[in-house]
Amino acid sequence: MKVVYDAVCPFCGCLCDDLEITVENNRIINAKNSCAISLSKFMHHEDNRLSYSTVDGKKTDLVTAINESAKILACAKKPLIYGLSSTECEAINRSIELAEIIGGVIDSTASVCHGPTIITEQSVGEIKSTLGEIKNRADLIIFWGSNPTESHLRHLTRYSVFPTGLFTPEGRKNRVIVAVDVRKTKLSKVADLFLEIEPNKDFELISALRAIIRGVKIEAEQVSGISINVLKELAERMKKARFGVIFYGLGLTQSEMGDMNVNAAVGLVSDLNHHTKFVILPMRGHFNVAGANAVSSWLSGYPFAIDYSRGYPRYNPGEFTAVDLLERREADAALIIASDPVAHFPARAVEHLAKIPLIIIDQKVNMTTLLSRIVIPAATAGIEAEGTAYRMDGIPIRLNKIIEPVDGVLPDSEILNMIIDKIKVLKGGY
Amino acid sequence: MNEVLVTLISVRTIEQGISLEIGKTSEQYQNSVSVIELNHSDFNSLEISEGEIVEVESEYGSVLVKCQSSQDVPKGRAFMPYGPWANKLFSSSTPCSGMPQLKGIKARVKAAKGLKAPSILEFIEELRRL
Repeated sequence: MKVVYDAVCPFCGCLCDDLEITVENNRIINAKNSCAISLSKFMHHEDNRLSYSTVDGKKTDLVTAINESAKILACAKKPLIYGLSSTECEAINRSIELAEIIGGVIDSTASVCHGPTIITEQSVGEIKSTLGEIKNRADLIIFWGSNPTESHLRHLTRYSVFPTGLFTPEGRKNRVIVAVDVRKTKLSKVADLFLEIEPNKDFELISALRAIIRGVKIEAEQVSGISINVLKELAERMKKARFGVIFYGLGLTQSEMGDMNVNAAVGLVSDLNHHTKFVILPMRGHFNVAGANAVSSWLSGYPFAIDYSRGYPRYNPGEFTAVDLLERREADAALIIASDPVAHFPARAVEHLAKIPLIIIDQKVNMTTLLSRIVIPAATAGIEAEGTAYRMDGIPIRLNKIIEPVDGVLPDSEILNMIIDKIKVLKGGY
Repeated sequence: MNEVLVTLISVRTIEQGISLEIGKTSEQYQNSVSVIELNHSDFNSLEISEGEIVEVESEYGSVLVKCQSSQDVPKGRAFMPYGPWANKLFSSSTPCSGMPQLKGIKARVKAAKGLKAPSILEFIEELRRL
């Protein structure tokens, strides 16, 4: 029996790095300090596991699956590579090289979570800090369209609400917590102030707050379902905070005008910095979705939605994002890496995935593996393969290899290298 | 037949997170994701019991799911976990952003007694027939 201390959880963007994983005979038997979802990830790691490659539903060897995948991708006119956010950075690096070689489009799950955040950051910038600074300094924490009690279960205890810090020695007592959401949640019930906002009305509410902070008189009695008096109280709390932070989630990005909502929120924080220190951070979902954007930006200059069909990278969300490419029926083959778009894309986009040759590299049976022509099992990053991932605040953290994968099951990066090598041969030494 | 008009919002849930790590084809995942949550008052107006099947219909599609009531849900709003059931109802149009609108669309909910929610494998069979 061995215990891996300070292990990193490869589930959400918190990348909690204080887990203690107990292993016996290459099986995980306990995951101390994990949240409920993380515990499920480690303890059910072997359930519904893929252990061999298939082509057209028939068991085959890895080399055959690689060769067949390479043929499909090399011959396709507009291949799509999608996923990336639940693997480590080297695999993301390899995926981008593959996209360049085959002249394909590459996109990550960021496009259907915080894509609007990235679009906004490119136009107006970002005002951020690390989660460590927030833990040590922040005394006003606002969760806007984000409910970590369902999605980032240890965020409150490790970074934002309960931990003690250098200038927050009494933890929760030193912080004011505000929740802005369209329904009551477990978070709203522990918050000091809860604003139950009308759906799709975030932009108006943020704009009203900006107006109040700038000293503009608002004639309306309420905005987005919130009374002006409550907004004035919140505006005062914001201005008087020593260090404030807005953590925002998909309530802003997946509602109407997602990028404009984020644009307004960043503008609000920019205004607040005339009064005090204030930062704003997206609650990134998948454990390495921030890494997918970072690696992609180093290598291509762009964070997601990149087309290599002209031999050089072009960036255009709305055109080269996966849902749009599928909606327009443009992709003629797809390679999915560590993702399940068949379960998570709107139905019309999924219909096109069902009609084109589909290849998937993943750890578990999911809807996309069930629909794929070629399925290649991969070692799970952070459990069976090491690598680097980026926390939601942009801090790189090294993932652990805790157990050995099944014989013959390789990490994503090695599988991608094999596909790249084969395609180079097929293309005559690209 | 009674029906309610709602603003539909898809969300993360703990149960969804726990069960997807067991597996997408697991009973736990299907039970935790094929569900819609309504306000008590909207729920009662459908004259159904807790967990009975309803049909949810939007401009873009329809789907059968279990219906639950909650005091935490405001009247006129409805919540479904992210996943293949909710995704039957959303448009794949992204207004030039790459992001489909997965929160805040109009939908109608009505009782569908005697019917059952489709399983993951039934979704896959439907897609294979395309």
